[in-house]
Amino acid sequence: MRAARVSRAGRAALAAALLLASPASAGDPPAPALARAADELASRLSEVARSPEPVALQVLAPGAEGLAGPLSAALSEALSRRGFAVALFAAATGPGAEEAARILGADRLLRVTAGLVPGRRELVLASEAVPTRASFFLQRAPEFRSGGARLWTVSVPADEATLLLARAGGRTGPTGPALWVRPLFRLEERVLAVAVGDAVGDGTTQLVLASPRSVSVVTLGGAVRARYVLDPDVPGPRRPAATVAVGAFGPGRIALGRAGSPSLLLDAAGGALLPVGTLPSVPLPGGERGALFGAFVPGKAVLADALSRTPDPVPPARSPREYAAFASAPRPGRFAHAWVTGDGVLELLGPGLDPVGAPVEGVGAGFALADLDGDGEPELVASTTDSGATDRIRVLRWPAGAGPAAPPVLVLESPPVPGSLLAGAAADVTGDGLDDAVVVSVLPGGGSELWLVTADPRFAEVR
Amino acid sequence: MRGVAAALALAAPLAALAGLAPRYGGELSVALAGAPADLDPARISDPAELEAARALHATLVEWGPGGALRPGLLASLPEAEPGARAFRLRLRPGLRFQDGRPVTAGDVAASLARLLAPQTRSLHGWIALPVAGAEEVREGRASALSGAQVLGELELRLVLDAPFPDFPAALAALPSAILARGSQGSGAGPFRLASRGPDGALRLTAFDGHFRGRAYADGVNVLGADGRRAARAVGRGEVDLVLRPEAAAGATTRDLPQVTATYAVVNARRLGPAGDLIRRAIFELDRPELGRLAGRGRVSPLAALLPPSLLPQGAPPAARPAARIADTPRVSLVVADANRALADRLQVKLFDRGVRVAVEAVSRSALAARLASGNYDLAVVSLTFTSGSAQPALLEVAWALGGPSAARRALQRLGGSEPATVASELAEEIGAVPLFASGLRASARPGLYGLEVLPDATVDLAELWLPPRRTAQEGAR
Repeated sequence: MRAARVSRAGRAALAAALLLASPASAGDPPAPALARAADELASRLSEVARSPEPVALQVLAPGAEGLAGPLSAALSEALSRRGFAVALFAAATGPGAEEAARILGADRLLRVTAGLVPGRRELVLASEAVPTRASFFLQRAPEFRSGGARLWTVSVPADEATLLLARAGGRTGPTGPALWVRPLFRLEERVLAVAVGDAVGDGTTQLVLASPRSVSVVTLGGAVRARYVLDPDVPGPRRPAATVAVGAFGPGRIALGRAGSPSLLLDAAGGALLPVGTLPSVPLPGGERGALFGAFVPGKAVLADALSRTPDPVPPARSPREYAAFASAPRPGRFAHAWVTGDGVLELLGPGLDPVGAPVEGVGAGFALADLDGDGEPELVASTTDSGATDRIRVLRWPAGAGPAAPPVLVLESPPVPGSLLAGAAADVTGDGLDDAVVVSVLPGGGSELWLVTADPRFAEVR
Repeated sequence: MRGVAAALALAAPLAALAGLAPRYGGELSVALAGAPADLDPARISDPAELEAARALHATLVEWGPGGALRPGLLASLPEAEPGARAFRLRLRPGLRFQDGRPVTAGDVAASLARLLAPQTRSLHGWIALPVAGAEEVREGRASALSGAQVLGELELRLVLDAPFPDFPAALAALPSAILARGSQGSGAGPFRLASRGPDGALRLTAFDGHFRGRAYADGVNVLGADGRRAARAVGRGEVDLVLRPEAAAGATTRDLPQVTATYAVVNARRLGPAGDLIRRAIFELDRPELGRLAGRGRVSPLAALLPPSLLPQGAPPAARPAARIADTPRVSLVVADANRALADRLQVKLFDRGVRVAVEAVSRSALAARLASGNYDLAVVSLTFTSGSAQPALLEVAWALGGPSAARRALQRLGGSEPATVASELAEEIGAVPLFASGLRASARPGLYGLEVLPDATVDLAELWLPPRRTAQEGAR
């Protein structure tokens, strides 16, 4: 009789249902963050469900497919410890899943959707516990009381193992993991410099944007969290130029350099952006090794060939050369920093600020060094130096094992983006544990558009 | 009227270079219709001298890229006191002339006074004319303007004889550039004069201390070239920018505002009733035809005293068939050498109407002197406006065609009438017949960036930048 009541959807779901034997459950303990989250969720279920009770478990991890198996194993283990009998589903959705769970003899379906929070290194499990027997007359045991559906959200900080598992299901191509370029948002202001990091000290990732008139802390969605209005009447070069750095100056601290005026240290911890002091030299993005300082050439919107780990009043110039922009990789590899000249030539520096590798020609001012694929070596995210009203975002990778003079290989080129890419920065924007790059396109009308370059498949939908 | 100038300002760069910020370095080469003859901003009389002054000098107020006024050497736009009879000016701190001396309020007062001083032989006293004490300086009875009150090292108060709300726009005209007192014309512009060749060619080098920051180019070579030579030089890549009446083949071309106007001026006081008849006869000539035959570059017939870029206007009245004028005396037509061809045309046209004209070609300065003294019957005058706004331009044309007294009457009229009305009354009073306006074309070789045309039809050479030496687009592929 029971079989006669199973619908076509239920039969399909039942056919797809499997008892999973996760590789992670074969002996390797799951990542601590996964175990903690699973344990938390199991304890929530045990508060409303009486064990021993058969529970059908379905785990989905869209965009982080590598998490699904290990999380299923961790949840099975945590639920089993609490006396539940667990049946795992590999793939079944909608009402069909509940019907299939009922056919398996489960009184309750625990459906879990796992993912990483963009901008945070945080694992979130969104779960619902759904009774599989909708009416009293379908009950397997007359004394069972389902108590209705329950929803829980559990979040724990994601550790490296969890981040690694989340990436395990990502798409790969012949040149490594697939990379994606997608627009973030547009601004009416012309952005001169961008930095990415925890600018307000709350554990999330924000963008810090310097324009001729202000410095703003902006969320990845484009919402302004704090702004500091700058004095526009400072003597400076013909075109305004700025640098901005976060991370190396303490939590909630932003360092701003402006050509023609003293560098500022701003505090964003209180929700407002307030100046707390000046810096004797120009802050540059330094990567994970801390602060770096340089200098603008007086009267010009270019940087001098000067680098220092300490904020010397006048960083010693290494040569009379002048540079349009400077960038650092968040995590250095063979290359850690790079200059680009006004002629569009990229010059690479090692972690010790010594020149390494061969110059790369045809690199525009909006560039970033970011280890997008997690192989330990930064890639170059660069614009073009083509003429025209549009630009392209390119990703270039230096071949592994090649000599220092080997030229990088183009692995991605975006369709045309409006405007000119004139600023860039790198950090883990998506919270997947890998570096991402943010590049800024200055639009012909005077505004700006921000673009994200990432290997995180959750950001794959646009380009 | 400033809005008209703003609308005509051509601010968008010729080309954008994706991914590259403006690049410093390199030498620009600019070809003009002629080498600038006089580098004193007080004596600017043609577009070449105007362009040289744009490179060498700085004014208190400037035309911005969008055609709006913005502070130049001043920290903010001049603040008018109630009634617009006095303005307070405050200089930016830390300004330097190219010779290293600081720019002070005293230099501002002296620069305004020298526009009126007889020994300057200025063509642009109209700028300082509204300031109290202008007459005394112009007549040599005083060396300083009593209305220019120096309040401190950086602060100045200018008291005017009559209300003139648009006075800040007059301070944007290049002849009002501030010069270092006692120097040989040292200015505060983005380039300094390095040398001047025997043919009048200029070699300019970037001034590191310019208040807007250093120019992108390290230097500029400015030369005079005829049309054929300029086109050849652009084709060979020897010249980056040509500012001439005609476009250079193979270059990206942009029209500049028509700021040169040509007039016939009839001295009615000297000719009596015959003067009115001659003036009417000139009015009835076919002005479009005159412009086609005698004008150079982009020429438009003129219906009002100011060019259309400064004062919107309709088409000039249609030409009428020649009607003979009886009993007119033989008149002399005084003209500068450059307008000799036009004078010859007018001679023929007026002969058809019974007016016998003797053409007398003189130097530019002699013509200015004859006009100022009223020593002429009939004159043909071309005036290059240095002001990008209507009200100051009316003072400028009144000064150029009718002398200081006409400019002073125009100033009184500007207090209560619209510029179009003042222009009409002024033309009647001076006896001027507007003939045509002409403008230059900017021809830039491909790969020159940052070209911006200002309302006074100059190009800011400091904003120009050259492409990278290597644009190896495939280099990183």
